[in-house]
Amino acid sequence: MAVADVGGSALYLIFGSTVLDTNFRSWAPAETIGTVLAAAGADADDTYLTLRKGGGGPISFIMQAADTTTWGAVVPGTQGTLAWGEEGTAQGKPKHSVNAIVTGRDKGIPYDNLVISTVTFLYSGAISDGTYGA
Amino acid sequence: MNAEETGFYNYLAAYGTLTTALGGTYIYNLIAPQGQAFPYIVFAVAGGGDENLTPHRKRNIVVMAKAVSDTHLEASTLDGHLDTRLHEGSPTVTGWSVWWCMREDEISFVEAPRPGELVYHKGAYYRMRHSKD
Repeated sequence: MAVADVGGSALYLIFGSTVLDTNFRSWAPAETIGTVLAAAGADADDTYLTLRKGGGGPISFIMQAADTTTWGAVVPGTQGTLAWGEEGTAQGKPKHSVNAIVTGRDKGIPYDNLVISTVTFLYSGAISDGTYGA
Repeated sequence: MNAEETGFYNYLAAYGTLTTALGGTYIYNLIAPQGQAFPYIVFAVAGGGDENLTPHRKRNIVVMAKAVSDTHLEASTLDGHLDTRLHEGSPTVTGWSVWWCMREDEISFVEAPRPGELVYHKGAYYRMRHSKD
């Protein structure tokens, strides 16, 4: 079966009402699950029980001149809906959304390059995977 | 000339120190007119292009700019004016915001087009980076 590679250039990402993909460099959402060791006694191998799911990730984007709006939308502690589609928002393309909290942000300011901000999100709730509608 | 070339030309042509030393706006893109008297400036986009770093378009080009003269001293002096104007310069490119203009590699050579005639070329490559408005 023929398959098509997916480039990242079509990413759509919005946090609350602030679109963050316009100048993005990378977005790396990750999902995790906690585990607890269930082995005991004479067990020869570790076994685990699963606990709660979690996740989050950093987005890096190039800062724009005098853009206080974007920076102001990602103050640590800010909570809102984070939604993204790595293939854009055309009908049928994957859509993910989750309540998320900004847990950190930074600005890298090199002499010889663009100012890049990285904002780190922590999921606070269940992630919803679906597709964009018409 | 495209917007980048026009912006680069206008930026040099507006620099009085340079045009006074040249005796006019003898600044040319790609090539000087045949028989053009010395000294003059030649510049040309020599490399680079789109960076494709983000959805927001950005370009990173290298522009060659050099003084051409029949004396080494004059070519060097004019190159100094180019350096003063362009290193950490701010050319205006219509539709774009220039945020970086820096001198990089040097140009220095001499040619002998005819016996007894020497033509000195002094200048540098300047990297210009700009983002679409």
